[in-house]
Amino acid sequence: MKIMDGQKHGPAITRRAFLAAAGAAGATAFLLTNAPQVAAAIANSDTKLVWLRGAGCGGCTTSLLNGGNPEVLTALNNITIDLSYHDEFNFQQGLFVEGSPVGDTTHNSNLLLDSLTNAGNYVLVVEGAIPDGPGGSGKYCMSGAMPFKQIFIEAAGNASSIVAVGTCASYGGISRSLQLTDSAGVAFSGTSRQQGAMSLYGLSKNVINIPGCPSNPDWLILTLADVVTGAGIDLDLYGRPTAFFGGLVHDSCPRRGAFDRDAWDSNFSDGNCLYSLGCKGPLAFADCPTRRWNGGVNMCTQSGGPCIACVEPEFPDAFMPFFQRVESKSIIGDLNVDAAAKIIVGASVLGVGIHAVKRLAVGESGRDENEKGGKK
Amino acid sequence: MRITIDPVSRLSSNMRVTVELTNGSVSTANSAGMSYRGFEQMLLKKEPLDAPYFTQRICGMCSASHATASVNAIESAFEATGTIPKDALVIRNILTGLGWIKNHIEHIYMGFMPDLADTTYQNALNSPGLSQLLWNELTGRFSITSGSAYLSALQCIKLIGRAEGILGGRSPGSPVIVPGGVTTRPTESDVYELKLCMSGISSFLQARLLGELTIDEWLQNTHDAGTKEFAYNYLQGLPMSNTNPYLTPDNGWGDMPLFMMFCSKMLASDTLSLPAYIGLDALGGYPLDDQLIGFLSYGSFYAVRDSTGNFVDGYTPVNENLATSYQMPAGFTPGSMQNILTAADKVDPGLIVEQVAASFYNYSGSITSAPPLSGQTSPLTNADDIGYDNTKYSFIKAPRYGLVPCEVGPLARLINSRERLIIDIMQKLYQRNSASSATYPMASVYTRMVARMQETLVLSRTISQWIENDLEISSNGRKYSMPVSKVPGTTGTGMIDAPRGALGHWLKVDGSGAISNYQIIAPTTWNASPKDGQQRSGPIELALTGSSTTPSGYLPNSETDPVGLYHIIRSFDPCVACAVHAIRR
Repeated sequence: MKIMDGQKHGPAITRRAFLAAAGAAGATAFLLTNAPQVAAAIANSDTKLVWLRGAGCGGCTTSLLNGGNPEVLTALNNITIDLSYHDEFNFQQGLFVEGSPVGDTTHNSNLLLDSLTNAGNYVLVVEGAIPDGPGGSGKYCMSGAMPFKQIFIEAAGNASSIVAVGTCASYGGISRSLQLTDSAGVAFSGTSRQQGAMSLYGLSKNVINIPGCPSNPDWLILTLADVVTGAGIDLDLYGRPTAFFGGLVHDSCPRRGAFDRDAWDSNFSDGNCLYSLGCKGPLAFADCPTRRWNGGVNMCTQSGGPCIACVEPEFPDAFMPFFQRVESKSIIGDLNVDAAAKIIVGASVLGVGIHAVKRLAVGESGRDENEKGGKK
Repeated sequence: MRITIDPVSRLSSNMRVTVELTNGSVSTANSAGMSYRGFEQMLLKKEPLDAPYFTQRICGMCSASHATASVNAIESAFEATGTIPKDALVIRNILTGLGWIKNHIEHIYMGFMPDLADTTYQNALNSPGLSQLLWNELTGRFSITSGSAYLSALQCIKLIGRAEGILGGRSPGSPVIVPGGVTTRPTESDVYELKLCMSGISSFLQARLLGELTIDEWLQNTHDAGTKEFAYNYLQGLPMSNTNPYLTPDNGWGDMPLFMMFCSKMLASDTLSLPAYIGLDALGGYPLDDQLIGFLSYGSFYAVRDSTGNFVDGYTPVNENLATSYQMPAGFTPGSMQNILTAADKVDPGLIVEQVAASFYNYSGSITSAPPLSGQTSPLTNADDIGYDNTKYSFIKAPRYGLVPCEVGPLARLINSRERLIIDIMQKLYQRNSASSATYPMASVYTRMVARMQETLVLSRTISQWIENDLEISSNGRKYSMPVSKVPGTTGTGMIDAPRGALGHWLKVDGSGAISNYQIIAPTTWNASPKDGQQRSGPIELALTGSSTTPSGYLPNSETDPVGLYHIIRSFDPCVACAVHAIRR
């Protein structure tokens, strides 16, 4: 179908309406309450979705299967997205006889991917990081007889929109830890845009990051709805939709009451504030406490697990040891306070940056009494 | 003729399989994982208590099993296994158990079954009558993203995810399993919600997998006791008509009876002379080389009661007596049929070694094999050395039990526990073999899938019982975790079965209390192992050898859709993300 200029996917839902719904409700509510509006916006859409997986654990796909509400195919159907390529859902395999591709696009996944990327006009979702090593060859991750890096470059080049799902694809994540495989996220490597794969391989396109280890399926489905409707969701400095990643986990944590009355856990399962057990909720920007997980039943701190800031660009290295407080000197090593704060939260995140820097600067081992008085 | 499948889809990606077809049959096979991740090296010098959170991110499917193997390694290193509260062990059991059935359902419906809706079978099952009825069922149920079974499996997976979330905080990536116990304290409403989820999961399994019988009825007659003949008599009594659409679940033809009948050449063709069948019981075994393989399982699920049925805290760490540590036993059975008539051997953890002769890693010096705690390996760093046709061809290492490559997973577990249904089936198949031709191997695509279905049913019943009888509601005095004090300069081992098979985490802690070595051998490391220094193939390679492109042998042009090879590879439920977690430098 021919896409007209300036009329990419039908009339756009207004940004205000989208953000109001996306910020307040889960994907189900959004898709139900906005059904006529969304339907009108995407009536003529024939959006194809190409989902590639690089170096990762597949957990973001699993998260989508576990917790999508409605389940993933219905959700994608509701926003009229056609899941054209995803190796977990493909009937096809990559197939070669005597080294040459055989069969057709209904049986050979490599031919299918070629035909989709050649045709263009698809939303590219990338899960997993993009390894460049060893020695720039990309051979630490290969698929279909070529480095994943090459597959990514071709698919990104022709995509109409790009969404990075999970912290590996967004920033490198756990796959980038210690830089053993020279892995990068799509648009970032940690907090650096210049080291991101797009920039490394000379590609220039907007990328929406949906981090999280794993990412929450609501975040992804709503973002895809935004992409289809062309609403133009607001992003923060690290490419994350502010509708989902605009507030701190700590600020609406279900255990916030315990923090306020100085009730600290000294052991797991005590049931109080987890900050003393290394909770990074004060450094993590995500709406987990209000959105929650697996159909809205629970989230990490509610179940007694310290937040590990899995949505942040420098996850995991900057947030380990997981069970030690952020002020702990062993996290910081030889870095000065400014550098450490920059690693932990990124320079731009002013509110929490100040918060963390203050803590580091005064070497506090407990809660800052002044802040308590000043901030609440 | 050389056929390469790359990537093998519908499993955690980056798997490449190459076979050489000679006169229509596979003469050699290479199975390879084409990704290097470096998890073990990332853990060096890190805080040991971080390992469960870190290592569960090896695999988005089996994250609770990785977390459990990791806390077992840590708790054994720090001598804390005896104090872990039983309420924590119960929650770990339920979380890992839910992970098993979710993995199995996902594998059965999203991974394996869609290949039965392949055009190969549309062509083979095109005669009017039973053949077409069968094809209509296969395509109507199992087609990717549209089959009735496929779609209801998606709903069930979501429901299991919800149950995992209730107890685990979220799934995957649950923070709940930690050294010392668990972080959560389940409330009355959590337990109630969990029961609701289990009821929905059981309904799915009953209506979809079984069709007519309840889970209890099926298991009481095939698993717990009953006559040996029950399953086959039951299948033969189900209505079958050439003219009416009788092959429906509410007529008893649930997905498991349908599979058990029509994917068995022995039953459908040899015994009943039906015109429609797919011979998966003659496919993907080790008919030529059964003495070259073993079936290995480490056991799983903490025993939380003593011999008198009372709750006890703590568990036995891995020792030479692995067989007694868990509710589901550990065991090793050599691959020939006569060995299943006697009890399984105990597992000796000291016999587990890894080799890298065909893997993209090097050992220094003259070492050719190494136990996990003292492996010396480094990934190849010269890109030219990483290729498809070299002696080294995979990022997966080659684990061996002594000298033996081992199949791991549901079939290995059911063989090692001498599970009634699977042993009966294997004996029936075996009796059909003549001295001159072993048509029906004990391990096959068929027995692997029946084992996976049967285990799903057994475990769903067990998890419901755990929730009913073992999971208690949080109260003031109840403990869910105990402090774990680090002990410098020690080692720990965590060996459990994960959904896809035997999983081991090995940990070494240095004098300062930091990790000095962390080694993981995942289930797919066993199953998708490349060759070793003596050119012994891994299980998937061995199962492919001697097979062909379809269950009926080589058909013209079938190299462009070699569905027989897909069945064999997928019957192992490979997870390359786990297998290539890799390696310390």
